[in-house]
Amino acid sequence: MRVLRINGPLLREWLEELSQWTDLHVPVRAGKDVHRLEPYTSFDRIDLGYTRTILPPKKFLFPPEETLMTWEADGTCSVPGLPERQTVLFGVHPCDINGIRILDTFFASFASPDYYYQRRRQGLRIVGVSCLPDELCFCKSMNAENVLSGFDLFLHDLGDRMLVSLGTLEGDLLLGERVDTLQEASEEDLRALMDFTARRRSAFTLELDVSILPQAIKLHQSDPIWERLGEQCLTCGACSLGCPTCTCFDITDTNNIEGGARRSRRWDACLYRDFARVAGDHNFRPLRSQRVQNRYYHKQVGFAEAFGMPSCVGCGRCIRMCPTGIHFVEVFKSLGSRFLEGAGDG
Amino acid sequence: MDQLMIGVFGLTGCAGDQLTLLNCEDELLSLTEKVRWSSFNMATTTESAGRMEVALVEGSVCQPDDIALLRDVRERSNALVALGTCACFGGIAAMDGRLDPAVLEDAVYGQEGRQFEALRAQPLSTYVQVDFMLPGCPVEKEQLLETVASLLKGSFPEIPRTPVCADCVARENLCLVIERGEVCCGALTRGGCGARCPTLDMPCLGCRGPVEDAYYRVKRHFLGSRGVTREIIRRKMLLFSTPAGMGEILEREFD
Repeated sequence: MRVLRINGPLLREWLEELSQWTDLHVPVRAGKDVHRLEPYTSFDRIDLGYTRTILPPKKFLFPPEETLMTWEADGTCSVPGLPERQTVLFGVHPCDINGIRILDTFFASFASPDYYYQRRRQGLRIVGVSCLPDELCFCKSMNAENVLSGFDLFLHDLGDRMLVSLGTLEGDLLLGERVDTLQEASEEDLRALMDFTARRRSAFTLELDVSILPQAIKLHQSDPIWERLGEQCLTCGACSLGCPTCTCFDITDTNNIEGGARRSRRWDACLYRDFARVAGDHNFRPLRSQRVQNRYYHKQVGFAEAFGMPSCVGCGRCIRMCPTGIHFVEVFKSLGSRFLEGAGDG
Repeated sequence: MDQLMIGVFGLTGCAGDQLTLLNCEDELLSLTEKVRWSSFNMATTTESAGRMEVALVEGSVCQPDDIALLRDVRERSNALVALGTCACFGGIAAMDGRLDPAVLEDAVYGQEGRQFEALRAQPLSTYVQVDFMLPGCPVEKEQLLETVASLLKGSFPEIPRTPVCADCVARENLCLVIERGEVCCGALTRGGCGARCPTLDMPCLGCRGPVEDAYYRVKRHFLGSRGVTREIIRRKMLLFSTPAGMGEILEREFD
């Protein structure tokens, strides 16, 4: 992979230019320690040193609400188009790039790949950016802290210098003729990059041993911990909606006065009471505790059994977004440690 | 297409939901082509005593006259829709259902104001069968139109039953509970409003009424742990987030 040198002024010039011909989104501060990927308005609003965005890049590929089709009273039907401009996400962290890979896997798994996801995905360009973990990041435990692919370009902000890795041909095209004018990284640059990577690896404070998790969860299906979590959970759904890999949605038809209608899909969450409610008002998971348990089971067991990997990248959003302070990692840790104790007893 | 006969009725309330119908200015002409108003005090002097396909009833039941009108309307309609939070859950008038109506009357009108008999405020469903609930204070214009549009096709619409938090996260708002320790009723309250208030930096008051399984206890516990007093939480939740008759349940949850 080619690595080139870039610097502040060059970056500014490049992004300014990129914003002229693409839908460029960049990390902008939203609160004390949270950000959002927002449309580019000026270089100075970009905060490259951010920790996490409130919503993951999922919102660009699988928006909170999306019109699938509309039809008129006479039966004419149409599918809404997309803007012609290419969407470029600048400043995506490795965990979120890995999150997109999980979304890719899921949305391609249907009998015919999800049309609405695919068309957005094809037009999406990703520029990654390096980051340092905070006390809620556990991507390292989920093997999601690095990316070798899944991005078009990747910017390494090493403090005293900036390097950019070229991931794809599309990435080269984003850089334009700069690809030929930017200097190749020197040996010293590459050493600095390795130093940074090592420093970053040792900066993680939150860790989780995932090797025994699926078994621990399976064996603790009737553990009182689920009951307790059910008592602590408001079922507000923030952890699922804000999860980079949660993909549940609900489809509804909305009539209009003219006799036409609109079919749309909207984010849904397994924590909501209506989620598993079916005809006849039967509910597969009427209890809050059952719904919480289902979410944990699905993330680490159900999805893993279907797709060969857990649907979690350790971004820490579910911990950060929980209004009652439920700590995803602590829950699993307590299960895992009791699992080991149990094994010892046996 | 045959016109649909709809009656719009108001019990005790602010008439804000009827007004929302009138505020659908761009759609009014289209509406009047498709709907015949059996009764709609705010828009027409025409008043029919006959049958109607749909009755849209707003307000809560607070006096004997309300009960009489409601029963008559139910009798004459094929489908009855509770329009707005008062009709669905009791709303503001039912905010503290434990208080004796006589005490409230005295406080508001004094002795000389005793012109009518007041009842404990109740939602429509206390007295008659309600076929569909469209909550909101007032109802969302788009959802009201969607309801009428669905009724024209002989069905009821799918209105979100997820909490306001679903709308709030979708808009990528900062959570006011987490960031500022505000008493926000979003998790207890039916969404579908696009998290209007939190988006404007105001905590949710709960005006769309409670979700089916509102979890008052945990809400109180974690807000309490953040230093919010019991009384503030109680008052806030009683405002809209507890349906009529739930005041006592809420008290139990608080102990």
